[in-house]
Amino acid sequence: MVSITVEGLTKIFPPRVVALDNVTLEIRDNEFLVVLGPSGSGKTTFLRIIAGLEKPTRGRVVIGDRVVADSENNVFIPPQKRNIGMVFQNWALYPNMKVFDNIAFPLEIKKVPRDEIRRRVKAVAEVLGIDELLDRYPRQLSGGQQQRVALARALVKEPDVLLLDEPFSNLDARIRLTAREFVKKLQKRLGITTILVTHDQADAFAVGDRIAVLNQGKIEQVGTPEELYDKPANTFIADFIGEPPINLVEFRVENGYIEDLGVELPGEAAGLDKVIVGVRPDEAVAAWEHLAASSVASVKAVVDTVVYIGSRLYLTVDVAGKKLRVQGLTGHTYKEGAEVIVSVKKMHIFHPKTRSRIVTLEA
Amino acid sequence: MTMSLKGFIVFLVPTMIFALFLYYGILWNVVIASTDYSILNPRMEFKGLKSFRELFSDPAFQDAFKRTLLWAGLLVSAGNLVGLLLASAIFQFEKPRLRNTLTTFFLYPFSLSLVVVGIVWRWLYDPFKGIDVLLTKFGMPNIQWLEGGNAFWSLVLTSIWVYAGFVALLYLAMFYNVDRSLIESAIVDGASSITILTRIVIPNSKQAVIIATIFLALFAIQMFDLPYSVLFLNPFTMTVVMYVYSKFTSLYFYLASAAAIVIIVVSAFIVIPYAVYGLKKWLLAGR
Amino acid sequence: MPRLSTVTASIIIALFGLVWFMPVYALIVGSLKSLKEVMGTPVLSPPESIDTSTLAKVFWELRGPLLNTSIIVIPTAFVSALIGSLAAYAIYRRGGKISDAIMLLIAISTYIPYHVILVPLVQFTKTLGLYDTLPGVMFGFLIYYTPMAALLMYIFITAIPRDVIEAALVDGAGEWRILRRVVLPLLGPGITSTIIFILIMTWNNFFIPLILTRGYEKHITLKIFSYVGQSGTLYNQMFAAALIGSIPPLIVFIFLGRYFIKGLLVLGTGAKG
Repeated sequence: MVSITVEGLTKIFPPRVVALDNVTLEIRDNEFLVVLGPSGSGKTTFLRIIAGLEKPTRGRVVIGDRVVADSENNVFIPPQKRNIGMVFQNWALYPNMKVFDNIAFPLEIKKVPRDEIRRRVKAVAEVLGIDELLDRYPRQLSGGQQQRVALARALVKEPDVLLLDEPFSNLDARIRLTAREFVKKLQKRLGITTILVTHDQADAFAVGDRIAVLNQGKIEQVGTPEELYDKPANTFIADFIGEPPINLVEFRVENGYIEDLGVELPGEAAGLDKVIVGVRPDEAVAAWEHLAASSVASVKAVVDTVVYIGSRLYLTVDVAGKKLRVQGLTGHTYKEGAEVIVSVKKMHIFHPKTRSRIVTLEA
Repeated sequence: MTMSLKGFIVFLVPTMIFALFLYYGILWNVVIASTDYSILNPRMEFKGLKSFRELFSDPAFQDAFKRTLLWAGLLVSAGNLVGLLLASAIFQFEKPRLRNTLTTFFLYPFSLSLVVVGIVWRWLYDPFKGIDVLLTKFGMPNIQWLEGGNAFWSLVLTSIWVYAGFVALLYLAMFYNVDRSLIESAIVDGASSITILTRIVIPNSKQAVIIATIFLALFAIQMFDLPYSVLFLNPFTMTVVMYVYSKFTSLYFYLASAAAIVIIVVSAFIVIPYAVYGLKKWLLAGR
Repeated sequence: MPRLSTVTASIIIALFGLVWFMPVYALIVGSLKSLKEVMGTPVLSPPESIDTSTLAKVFWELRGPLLNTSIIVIPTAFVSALIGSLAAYAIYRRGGKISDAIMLLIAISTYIPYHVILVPLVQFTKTLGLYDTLPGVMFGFLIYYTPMAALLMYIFITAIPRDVIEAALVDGAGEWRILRRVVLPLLGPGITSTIIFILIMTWNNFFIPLILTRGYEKHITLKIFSYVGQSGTLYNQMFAAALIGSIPPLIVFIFLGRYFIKGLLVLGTGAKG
């Protein structure tokens, strides 16, 4: 049973780069947690502190029932003694060793008997489907194969925790899909507590039980993929997650109604004089007539531009001088300058100053 | 996670013992130079800057000092020129193997002991058995290569022969680093290979000039083996290091140390900026 | 490229090549001449008959110094490369301002002419009772070449990605094991370059054995030098000694020259090749 607790974690790189700012997080036993954030958000530092490759400036890290880092009591257990498996961004395989020796290296250090090393390397190689490659050197392998070797090396010592640093970013798009699926299944099968760090939301959504979104060293929100998508804590999350990106537009509020949209605001939101309205392009449709029933708002708009993203049709429309991207109905022909009616199925209302979500209106 | 302090010290100590001895030696020179320690006064009494006053008023040292600086100037300018010429010529050939073979060939004097170099050239400069024999055959005057003041110029030529290949190597390394597409686009533009060399390749290799200059100057400042093995401690070819050695063998330790400090100061002006510059580059490259 | 420049280049190479070739040529033909021929013929004239007796005689005289030099030079090269690697690794792993400062100290000591420590070095060696001994010469070499090896190895080490070292840390390896199993195997060519470079430089060194020993037997360059004084006009013996004494570094240079060249380039430009 290995859970990880992180309390008040702060990392400052001299002179004054704050990589992590008071991060508190709990990773449950057997959980697959993804730390998602743009580059420079501190996510790799977070992972390296868990691994013991960096010392936290302040805060505590507990793995299982062992305190591995505690700035107050000056506890710090080096990476060698933490029993963790880690896969580095570019896999960091030892170029001078064959695949077998790469995987065997952690066991060799633990002074595991030779027969057992052989047995365990074979076993883990079989699980990862690389038992044919044991005699090769890393440079003779494809990216996907190298990644599996790195995984095997991380897993062979039966670590308490598996740490993955951007494991998919060096794979080409095609293999990436299968690799995600593979890692997800493997993690569930082995039931090992896992932290994966990525900047790619598709990675996060594909593998994560929960996702922690990190921004400028702070956690913005922790939740399941659905929660992040459906109930974004603030405009950052709303904007960071979802493709194409959400429309975030400021509207004035008059007498409890959103100006230009004619939507009534409930509760505290009604008292504000401005709100930020968040509408996902996939949750708003432009058509010739009002699409009845399932909408919180219908407004007149003018078609500005038409684009295809993938196989989907999107329009940029003009609503009272504000640009919104919405979905178009396939099979329709939209002309620039034509008048349409946009029906919004779901609408997030954010506070204009704190930028956190007040309420979500749904049809 | 960085290395523990304990491990760091354990790994570092053996090298530091030797490196620090060098610095200890430099300090010890300062101590000796501030005394009049010699065969005449073995008691080492503090005399302040007396040794330097004596050193700079010694005509033999003045000569050696000026000669060494002149040698450095000549070796730097001619060494760079010949090195650049050789590198440019080698660069005209396309085949990498030919380039490498030629580079190695012109570098071989650098892999010889300077004593060996001295012995061979001493004979090649011999008025009766050396290259003069060839020259007179072609009706050229008999040059007394090692006669009096001529010896200095002859040895400068030999030192160029020793180090030009090294300079060529530095230049070639920079030439090869010039972005291939720059050269190719110039070829497409119809530039001749001389134009490519003088307008694109050499201007992009400025760093080689700096490095070659630093090393040639250092080689000249420590010049000892070559003149010593050709003409021993001849006054016409005496350098500062030779002066240090001669004062040491005649047991005027305070003068030897004072002259050594002059070498340290002169070379520090060259070495310290280079080491800082070089390390910055390598350290940055390592991070 | 156009042909004209290749022609010009060929002429330059040929002219300089002749000058570059002349000394080796003189060395070889000179050492093959008989006593009678040496008296009358110029250095550059080919021998009428090949006489290997001088070479054989000189080789016999050189056997002691050759052996002594090997005993000094080979361990010096390996020991300094090993010790220097330790320091380079420590500095790379530890990082930070102090490491930078130490590396700077090492780099400066590499480029400062070692001749300047003449007086203290001789005194110190005498105090240790190492004057005029093989270990004494080795000590003199190590003082200068160990920091140089550290500098060379440091530049090579910076080419190793840090995450490979970190992966080994996570795998549970200690510093020794990382150095032995991961770093040194990856540095193979770099270590070879360092060893070869120091091998050639110490074999050819004249000044340090000159000041730390008496007589001419403890290092090959001293022995070669001794022929200058004693042989008068008999250049065949001098040339034979110079030739024999140059063969080991020349062979290393010809066959392993790329390592030597790499060492040179690394010292000069910091290139990692």
